[in-house]
Amino acid sequence: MARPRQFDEDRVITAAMDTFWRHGYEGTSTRDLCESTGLGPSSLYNTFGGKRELYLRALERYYETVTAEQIALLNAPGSAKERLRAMMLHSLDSDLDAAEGRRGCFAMNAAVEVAALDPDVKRSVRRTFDRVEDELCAVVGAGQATGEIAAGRDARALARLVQSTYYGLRVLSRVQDDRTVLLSTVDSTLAAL
Amino acid sequence: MNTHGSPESRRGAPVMARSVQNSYDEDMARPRKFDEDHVLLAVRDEFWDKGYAATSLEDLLRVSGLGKGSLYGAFGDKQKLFLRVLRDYDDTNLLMLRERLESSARGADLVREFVLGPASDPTGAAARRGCLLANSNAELAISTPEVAAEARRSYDAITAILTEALERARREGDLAPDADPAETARATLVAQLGLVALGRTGVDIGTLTAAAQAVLARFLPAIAPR
Repeated sequence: MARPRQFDEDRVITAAMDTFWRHGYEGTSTRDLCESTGLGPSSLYNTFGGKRELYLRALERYYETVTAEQIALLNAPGSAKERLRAMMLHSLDSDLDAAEGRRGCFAMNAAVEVAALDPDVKRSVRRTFDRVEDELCAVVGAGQATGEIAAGRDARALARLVQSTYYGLRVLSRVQDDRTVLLSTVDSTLAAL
Repeated sequence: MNTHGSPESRRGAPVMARSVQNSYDEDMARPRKFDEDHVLLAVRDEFWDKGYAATSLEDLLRVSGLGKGSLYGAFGDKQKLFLRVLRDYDDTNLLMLRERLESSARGADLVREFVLGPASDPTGAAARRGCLLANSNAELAISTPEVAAEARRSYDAITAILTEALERARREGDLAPDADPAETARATLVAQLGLVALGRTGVDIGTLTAAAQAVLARFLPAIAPR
């Protein structure tokens, strides 16, 4: 029967992303997905192929939306350190927002929970981390060109220092809610560049 | 925290864990019919490899060699068993860090080991396996407040140990006189948590080592490998 799709695929994937992000892969049941997307199990499976496929689509959606937002902040006007700070603060504040449920970074959660067991998930999250590293490297390079960041050091190495601090903050912010303490770590790391 | 050295020292480990465990056993009034150390380490490895939710009761029975009655009779339910294993893991790590702080020739040595630790296994296997606490934090911090509380306890204790090490490093001339040991300790922990997380994402070991060295060069330029 040629029934029109009664749902908007975009909206469904976004709802699934929010559910996986909050509960993790194993912690999300088919029932959770049905509840959050408003679809029945058969539409869900017929359209997307199953939980794992939907999870991969959710990771892709994260890359296209949340990661893209982080990258946009890195490419916004301002000095290199201002841009690095804006990107870190943006993530920190969303991590600390109680309404969001302190859910951390979805790509990182996926990497920790699933990537070691599933090569497609690993590929997907590696793309996210590699892209963020490249963007950080470009910002550090720009800062070195203007003299804001010491030019004598390897831009890639400095970018990895920023990246380690950034992801470490996102791990810590799930259990440490003192924004002042987290913020001072951002500032002391940037000051040292 | 990925503070154990090689995979072997993790798996068979902890000479130290064993001594902790033994003193614990002596305090217990009734003897167990099985080797509690052995069971807890086997269970820990299973949770570590698979994650909490993906580990089934059948998995736990298989690796422990026990029946459900004995396993849950001794440790409570799956969650209680998991929290027990996680706490033991953290205690062992903290004990090891504290012991290294006492035995290190210089305070900076401990900080160097801590930062380079996530990249210390050249095969990359340890980095990919990650840290049981960090893995648990990513999986369970929202749904299980006890895990978030355990992570907080552990991170606070590590910060205190690193602060002590950095105070020593400052006295010994390895940290700038105007650097704040507590602030540097927090920033070092944060960067190390990031390194552990990146290691888990499957980054190659050379890249991870370079990242760890960049962190060290920033926090302890006086002793960073060049």
